[in-house]
Amino acid sequence: MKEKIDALHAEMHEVAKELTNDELLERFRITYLSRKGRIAQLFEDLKHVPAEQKPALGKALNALRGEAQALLDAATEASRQTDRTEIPAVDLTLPGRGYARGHMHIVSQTIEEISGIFRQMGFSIADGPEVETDYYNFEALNFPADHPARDMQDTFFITENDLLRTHTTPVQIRLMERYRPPIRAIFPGKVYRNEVISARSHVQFHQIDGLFVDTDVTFADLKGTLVTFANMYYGEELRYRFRPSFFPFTEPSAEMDISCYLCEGRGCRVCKHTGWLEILGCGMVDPNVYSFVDIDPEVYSGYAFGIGIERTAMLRHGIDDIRLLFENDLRVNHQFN
Amino acid sequence: MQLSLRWLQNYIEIPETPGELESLLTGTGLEVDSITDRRNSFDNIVVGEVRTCEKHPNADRLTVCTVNDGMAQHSVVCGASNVATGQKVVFARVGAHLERLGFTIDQRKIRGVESAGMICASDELGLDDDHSGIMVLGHDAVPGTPVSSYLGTDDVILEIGITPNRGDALSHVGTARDIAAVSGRPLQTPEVAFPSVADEETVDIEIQNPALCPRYSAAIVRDVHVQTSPDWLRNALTAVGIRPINNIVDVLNYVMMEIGQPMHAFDLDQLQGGGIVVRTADTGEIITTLDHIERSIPEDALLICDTEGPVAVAGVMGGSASAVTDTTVSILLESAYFQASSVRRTSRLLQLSTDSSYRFERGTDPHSTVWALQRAVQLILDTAGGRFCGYSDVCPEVIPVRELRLRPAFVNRILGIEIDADVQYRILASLGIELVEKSADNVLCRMPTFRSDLEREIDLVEEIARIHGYDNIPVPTRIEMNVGRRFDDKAFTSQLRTLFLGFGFDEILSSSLVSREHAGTGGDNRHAVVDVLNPVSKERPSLRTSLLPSLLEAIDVNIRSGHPSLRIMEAGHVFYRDAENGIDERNMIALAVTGLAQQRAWYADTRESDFFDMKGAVENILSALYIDNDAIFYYDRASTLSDTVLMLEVKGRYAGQLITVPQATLQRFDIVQPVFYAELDVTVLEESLPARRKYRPVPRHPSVTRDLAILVTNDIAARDIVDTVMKSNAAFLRSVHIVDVFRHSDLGDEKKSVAFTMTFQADDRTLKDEDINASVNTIIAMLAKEVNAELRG
Ligand SMILES: [Zn+2]
Repeated sequence: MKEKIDALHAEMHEVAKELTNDELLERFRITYLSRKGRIAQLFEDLKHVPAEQKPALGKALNALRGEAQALLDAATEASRQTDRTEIPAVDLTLPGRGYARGHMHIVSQTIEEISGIFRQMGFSIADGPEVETDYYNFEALNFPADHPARDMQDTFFITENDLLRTHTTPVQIRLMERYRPPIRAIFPGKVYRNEVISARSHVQFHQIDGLFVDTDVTFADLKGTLVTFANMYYGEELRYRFRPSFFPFTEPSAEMDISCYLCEGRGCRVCKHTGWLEILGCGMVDPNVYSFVDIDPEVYSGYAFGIGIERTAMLRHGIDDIRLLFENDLRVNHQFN
Repeated sequence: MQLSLRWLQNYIEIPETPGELESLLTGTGLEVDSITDRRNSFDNIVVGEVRTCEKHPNADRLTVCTVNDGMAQHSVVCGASNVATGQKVVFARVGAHLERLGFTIDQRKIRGVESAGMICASDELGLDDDHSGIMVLGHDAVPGTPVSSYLGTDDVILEIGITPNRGDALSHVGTARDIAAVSGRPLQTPEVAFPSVADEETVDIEIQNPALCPRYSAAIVRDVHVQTSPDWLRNALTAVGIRPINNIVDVLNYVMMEIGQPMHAFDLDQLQGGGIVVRTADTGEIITTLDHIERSIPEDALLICDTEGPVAVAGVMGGSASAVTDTTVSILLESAYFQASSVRRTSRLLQLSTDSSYRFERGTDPHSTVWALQRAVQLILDTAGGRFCGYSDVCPEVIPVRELRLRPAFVNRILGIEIDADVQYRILASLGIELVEKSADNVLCRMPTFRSDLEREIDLVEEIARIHGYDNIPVPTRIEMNVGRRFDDKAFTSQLRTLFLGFGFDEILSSSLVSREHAGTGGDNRHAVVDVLNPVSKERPSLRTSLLPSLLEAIDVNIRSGHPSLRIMEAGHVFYRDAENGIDERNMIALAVTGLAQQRAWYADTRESDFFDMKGAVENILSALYIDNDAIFYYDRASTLSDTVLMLEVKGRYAGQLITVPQATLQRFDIVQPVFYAELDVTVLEESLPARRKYRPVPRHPSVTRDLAILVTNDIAARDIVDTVMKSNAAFLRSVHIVDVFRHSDLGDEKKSVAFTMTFQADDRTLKDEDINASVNTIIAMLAKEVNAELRG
C-alpha cells in the first residue's frame, strides 16, 4: 500500500510538469481527483488493510490528495499565465477589413417587396414608357376630354398629344393590346404630376398598378387578392375596409383603407384622426376600357388596382417630406436596408 | 365641401353620432375627410347685456362696463370704441377658453380696475377676421343664452371629399339622399311655390344654343332691400365656409348649398333691353367679372347677354356691371341648366373656378331649376322684402330621361356574391331610381334627373354595391390564378441593381426633369432635348438625356454634407427627340465613383478613386452577365474628348460609355474633385444575354503560365497587345492578362514596358516545355509584326 502511494506520488509529479493546456488539466483532474480516480481507489483499498496501519496510511492518502489538488491549481494558474503572456502577433480585436455594401433606394426596396408579394400570387411584371400619348394615359382609360376627372391628375405635356404619364395605368391598355385574357400582371414605374414641389407632393413619384382580366373575375376576387397583399405587407392583425370611390377606368371603384398602424386605429395626426390609412385604389375594369382593346365585357371581367409607392414607404418609415426621397443625401438613403 | 349637421337635419333625421355618420357616409362613397365638432367650442361664452358704460379712470381708451350675463352683473374693462349701454354682446365669463387667442379668461386688474370677463370681437371667437370692434348682437338676444346656440355654431361640420362623378351630392339635400338610401329613413324637402301675382311679368329669354343651355329659368322680384342677411342665414353660410355678402347673394348661395343648383342674380335695371340672350361668344369679346377683372372670353364659351353684350359667363361668373349692389331694387334671378363639358372648358380656359362652375361641370339636375327659383324667391321675400312679379322657364327641347336595363344576374357576376333581385330592386328604389318594367331576368329603370352619372348598367352595379356595402361582399377563401405564361419585364434591371449593390454602389433616384442647361449633359449632342410645355418650375423644364446630371447633382449634395467619397448608381429612363421628331426613351443604368476608393484604415493606405475603379465595376457586370467575351471597349476617335472617353460595344451594338467627367462639366455642378462615370444601355445588355449556358467539362490536366515583358511605343494600347496575343492563335493559349505597365527614361521617352502573363492548357495531356515554347515564339513573332514589340530581357 505504502509503495502504491509513493509510486502514485512520483507519477503525479511527473504528469503535472506537462499540464500545458486545458484538456490535459482536465484529464489530470479526472485521473487523480475524481470520485473514481486513482486516489479514490486507494481510499477504497484502505478498507482492507489491517486496522493498525489505517491511521498512518489514511494520513498519507489525505496528504497525497492535497498535493494532487495543489499540483492541479498550480498548473492551472501557470497555464493562465502562459495564455496572457503569449499575445499573438496580430491583434484580433482590430476591426476587420471593410467590405463595401450598397444600399438600395427606399423606393426600389418598396417596389421590390410589393412586387414580390404579387409575384407569389401569380402576377407577371410589365413595363411601359414614361412618355405616353393622351390616348393611353387618358382616352383609352375612359377620361372624357372635358371631364373633371382630368383635374385629378395635373399633366406635363410635351406636345398636344404626348405627355409624361400621370399614372402607371396606361400599361394596362398596352397589355390588353398585346395579349388576350387571361392577363395577370402588375406594372411598377415612375409617374409625373404637374404639381408644386412641397413636403407632400413632388413632380414625380412611383406607382404599382395591377390588372387581372379573365372570365368570371369578380369584385370578391379583387378583395381576396388585396386583403392577402395587405396581410402580407402590413401584417395579419390589421383591420381593413373597402369604400366606394371613383376612377374613370373602373366601375365599381373602391379605395382600401387599413386600420392606422401608428395609433392602432385610435386616431392620430397621420391618419387625420380617422383611425384609417388609405393604402390603394381599385375597382372592376370599366366596360368602356374594354371597348378600346376589343375585349367583350359580356365574356370577360377583371379588376385593376394602384398603389402609391412613396406614400407607402413614407408612412411605413415615418418620413415626413417626399423631397428627401429624391435629393439623394446618402445620410437619408443609408438609414434603410 | 363642408356640410353642417344642423343643416342636414332639416331634411332627414340623424340619430347617429358624428362618428357613426362618418362611417355611414364614407361607406356610401361620400368620404368624410374630417369632422369638426363645435358643439362645445364656446363653453362659458354667453349673450351679455351692457348695463352701464363709464370711462376708465386711468386710461383714455378703455371703458369700464357692467355686463349682465343672465345670472349676475360683472364689472368688465373693454377696449373697443363701439361699446355702448344697452347693447347685447358676446360675453366670455371668467374660465372661458378662447381657442383663437389661446388663453383662458381670468379675473384680474386692468390699470387698477377689476375686470371679470371679456366682451368679444368676432375675430376673437374665430368666426372671421373682423377686429373693428366688439360684436353687437340683435336686440332679441336673451342674456345668458350660450353664444353657440344663439349663433348656431353648436354644430358639427363635415368636410366631405366628393369624387368627380358625384355632382348630385354637392349639397345638403344631395348628401341627405344617400343617408336616406342607406338608413331607410325618409327624406323631407321644403314645400315650395311661387306666390300668386295678378299682373305676371315674363322674362324675354332667347336660347341660341340649346345644346349648351338646354334649360333657362328666370324670375323677377322688385322692390327688394339689399342689406346684410339675418343672423340665421349668415351663420348657416359661415358654418359651411361661405362668406356672407348681402341678403340676395346669400339666399342664392343658401339654395345652392341646399339643393345643388347654382344661381345668379342680375340687377334688372342694369340689364339693357330687360331680356336675356344665351349664346356662344364671338371672337374678341370681353367682360369684367364680379371680381372686377377684365377677361377676354374664349371663343365659343357660353354667354348670358343683354341687348348690349355679355352680362355673365354662363355657369362660371356674372359680370360686375349688372351685379346686385346696395342700391339694387329689382332683380332677375337666373336658374339654368348648362352643359357640363362646356362650362368646364370655359372655366379651364379662363382659369377661373367657382362654386357654380364646380357644380355645373359635374352635372346638375335639369329639373331643379324651377324648384330652386321658387325656393330662392320665397327666401328673398322673407329676408329682403319685395314682391315677386313673375317667371319664365324656357326649355326648347324635352330633356330626355335616361332609361337603363339592369340584369340582377350581371350584378352578381361582377360582384361575386348573390344578392336577391328583390333586394337589388329595393336598393335602386331607395336611390330614387324608378323601376318601370320588370321582366324575368331584368328590369327597366328610369334614372332620376339629378344622377347624370348613371349612364350604363355597370353604373347601377356600383350603386347596388355601395348601398349594399362593399364590406358586405365577403372575401373568398381562395384566389384563382390562371395557368400559363408569366413574364417579368423588370427582372433584368433588378438583377443589374443587385450586382451593383454587391459592388458597394449606393442606389440613388433623381428627378427626370432637369434644368435646360443640364439636360444635354452627358447626352449625345447629336440629338435634341425634350422639353415639357408647361413646366411647374422654370428651373427644371427638360427631360434628361443622360443620367450624368443626376449623379453629379447627388455628388454635389453629398460633398456639401461632408461625404466626398462616393460610389453611386441610378437606373432610369433618358429621353431624346429623335430624327422623326418622335421621342426616343431609353432604359439606362449609370454609376459614378469619386473621392477615396480606400478609406484610411490600419491595414491600408488611403487611395483616390480612378477610372479603373469604375471600369472594374463595369467589367464585373459584363462578366456576371457572361457577356464579357462579347464586349469591346474602344476609344471614340470621333470625340474631342477621345482620351477620356471609352466606348463600350456588346455584340456589335453600342452599349454604353465610360468617362472621366470633364472639368468644365464638373464646374457647372460646383464639383472640384475628379468623377468617373459610366452608363450602360439596359436594353442592349439584356438583348445581348447569352442563351441557356451549357456545361463544359472541367480540364483534367494542369495549366501552365508564362510571363513576358515587351517594349512598345506609347501609342500602343493595352488592348492592342491583348488582342494581338489572342489573335496569334498560338496553340494551347487560354488567356492573357496584363500585369504591369512601366515607363522609365532608360526606355526612352517614346516607349513603355508592358508585362503580361499567359495561361496555356491542353485538354488531353499535361503540356511539356517544348509545347509552350513553340506557342510563346508564335506570340512573340506576332507581337513583333503587329505592334513592333521588342522582347525585354
Ligand atoms: Zn392613426
